[in-house]
Amino acid sequence: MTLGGDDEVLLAPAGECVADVILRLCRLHWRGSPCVFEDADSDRSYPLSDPWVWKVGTASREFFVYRSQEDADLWGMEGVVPPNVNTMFHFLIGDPLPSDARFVEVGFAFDKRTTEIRCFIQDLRSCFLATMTRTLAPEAA
Amino acid sequence: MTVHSLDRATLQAALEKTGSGWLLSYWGQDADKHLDKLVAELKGFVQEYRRRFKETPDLLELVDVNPAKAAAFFQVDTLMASRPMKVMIWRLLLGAEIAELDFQYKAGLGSSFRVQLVSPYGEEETYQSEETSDLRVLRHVGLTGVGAQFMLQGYYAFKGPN
Repeated sequence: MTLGGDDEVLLAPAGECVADVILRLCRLHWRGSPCVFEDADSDRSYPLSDPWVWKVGTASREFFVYRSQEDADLWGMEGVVPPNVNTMFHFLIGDPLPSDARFVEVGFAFDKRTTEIRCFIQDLRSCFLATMTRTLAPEAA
Repeated sequence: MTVHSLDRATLQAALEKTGSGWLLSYWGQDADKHLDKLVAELKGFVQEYRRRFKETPDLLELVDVNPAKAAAFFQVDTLMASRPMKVMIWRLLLGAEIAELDFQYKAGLGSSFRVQLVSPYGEEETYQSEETSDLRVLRHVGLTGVGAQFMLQGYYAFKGPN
C-alpha cells in the first residue's frame, strides 16, 4: 500500500500495549463510525467490535485503522482519492530506542494535516505521556 | 491452550513470562500452596465469565499472543482482585470502555466500588464489589486525552514498584 501525505513520530513507553491505547483513541476520534483494524501483514480487516482485535490485534507492531469497512474498501480499490482523505491511519511501533530503552517511537501516517489531525496528534501525545507516568519505574538510586 | 491446562505449573510459567515471577520468591516455601489457591480462584473466574458471557477466557493463550496485556492480567493487583472485578478487567482487555466509575470509602464502614462498562458491541455491563482492596485495580486504568478532557480507558500493567 502506498502511503501519501504526512506523518508524525511520537514517543511511547516500551513494553506497553501501545496499540491498545491507539485503537481506543481512534475509536473516540471516529466515535459512532464502525472502525476497522487491519494488520500490515494481512489483507483481512476486523471491526473494532471483534474481540480478536483487542486480544491479538493489539500486539501488532504495524497496522491500519480505517473509519469504516467502506473506507477500507475504497482505499483498497482507489488509494487516496478525495472522499477518503484522512479516513485511514497507519501506525508503526518501533523497537526500544538504543539511546533510551524505556521508549519506543510510534510512527503515525495520515493524508493531510488538518486541525482535526493536529488535535488527534496532541491527544496521542497526551495518552502516551499518561501511560508513561504510570509505567515508567523511577531510576534506581 | 484452554482453562483445562491451568494448573500449578502453567500458572507458574505464566507468572514468570509476564514479569510477576517475583511472587514465587516472595511466597518462598509456600509457593505451591499459593499457586494452588490461585489456580482455583482463576478457574472460578473462568467459570463465572463463561456463565455470564457464554465464552471461555483463555488466560494462558493471552501470554503467548499478547504479552503486554497478559502482564496486566497476571499482576498481583489483578490476581488479588475480587471475582467481579477480574471479569471487569478481562472485559477491559477485550476493548470495553468505562462509562462510569464510582468508589466510595469510609473508615470503619468499608467501601463500595461500582464500574459500568460499555462493550465494543455497545452493551452496558455493571460490576460491583465491596472489597476495599479492589481499589488497587484503579492504578491500572489508563487515561485517554481527548481535547481538553481525559477519559478513563483500558487496563494496563503497572511497572512502578510493585
